[in-house]
Amino acid sequence: MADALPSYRDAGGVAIWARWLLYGHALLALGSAVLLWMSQDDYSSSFAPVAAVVALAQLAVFLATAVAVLRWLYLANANARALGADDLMGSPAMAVGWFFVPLLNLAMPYMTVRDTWKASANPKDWQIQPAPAMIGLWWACWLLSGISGILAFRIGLEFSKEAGGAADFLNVLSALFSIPAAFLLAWIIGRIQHMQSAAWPASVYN
Amino acid sequence: MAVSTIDGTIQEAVLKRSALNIRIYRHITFQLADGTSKSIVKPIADAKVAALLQPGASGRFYIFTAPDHRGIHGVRDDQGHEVFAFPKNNEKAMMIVTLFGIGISALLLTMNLFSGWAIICLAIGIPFYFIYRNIRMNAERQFAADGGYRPIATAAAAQPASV
Repeated sequence: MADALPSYRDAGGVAIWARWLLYGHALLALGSAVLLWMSQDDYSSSFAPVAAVVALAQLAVFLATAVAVLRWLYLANANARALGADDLMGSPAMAVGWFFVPLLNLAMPYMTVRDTWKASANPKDWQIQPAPAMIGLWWACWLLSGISGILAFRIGLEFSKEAGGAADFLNVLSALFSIPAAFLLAWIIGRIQHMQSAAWPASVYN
Repeated sequence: MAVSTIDGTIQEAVLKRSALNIRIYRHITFQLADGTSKSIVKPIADAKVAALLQPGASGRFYIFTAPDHRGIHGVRDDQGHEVFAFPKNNEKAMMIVTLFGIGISALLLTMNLFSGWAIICLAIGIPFYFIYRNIRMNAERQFAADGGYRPIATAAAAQPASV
């Protein structure tokens, strides 16, 4: 009747990578916001080559961060089950997959991270556990960053230079929202990993 | 884990709201045989099952977990009651979303048009219809396979209602 429980796989190393990459992502987002702000309405400025390099580095770090964070989320969700949390919604693969499902990716990743937190805090009776408001705050910052980034892209695409100021402003806003989002996610990863590692003393995270 | 069971006694069942045949709870807390408690937060149940989800009810409770919600689809209590009712609302909703997506796509194709929203309806509706259907079928199999189970009446429940 019950599926076999997954075995615990230490996610401490991946958590450390994910957190450092998130800090790097936040630093590059700050650099990008500053450069955008300094070079607004001046597309031929001397900042352009620097901005291009920062943008490329930001893309590379974002991709690496996404891989590390999603890998960690998969392991953390599976480990919560291994520690005894049953009736978690979906599966570890689905915890990652929600980020790529249109519309549902507006809410389900938040619920997955929140449930992983609760299940790590008390695996045996996890559903009644409280979750910190920080998780909601992280998700709000992440959504606002994404929405302002998409709006900036669409405005830049549709209206070209006439609306360059608005697009730049939204780009700065997107970068600024992504900084607290990165720090909050790094904190959430650290806390969840700490709770799971405490329940599994052999973890390298201890 | 799509389906599971809880053997215990309901300590608390806090109803949040009712909508047609569905009952949505804030939480239901069970006391397990080993003395520990276990809670299910925001479960849904069909009204027939919900009628048995009262504090003090003891027996086996059949739980399902869908990708985005969870609920109780069956009860076998120590008073001899046996109820199975799976809430099918989400499954029906996904079928409607799928049919809507197919209808809009077909209509637009006749006009040489295309809608991203119709594709999103299909991308969500089709897989989720089959996911919900699969969970319902698992729940039906689970309840049927456990047909021989009869909970032992607890001492409290076995007492006569009045002396």
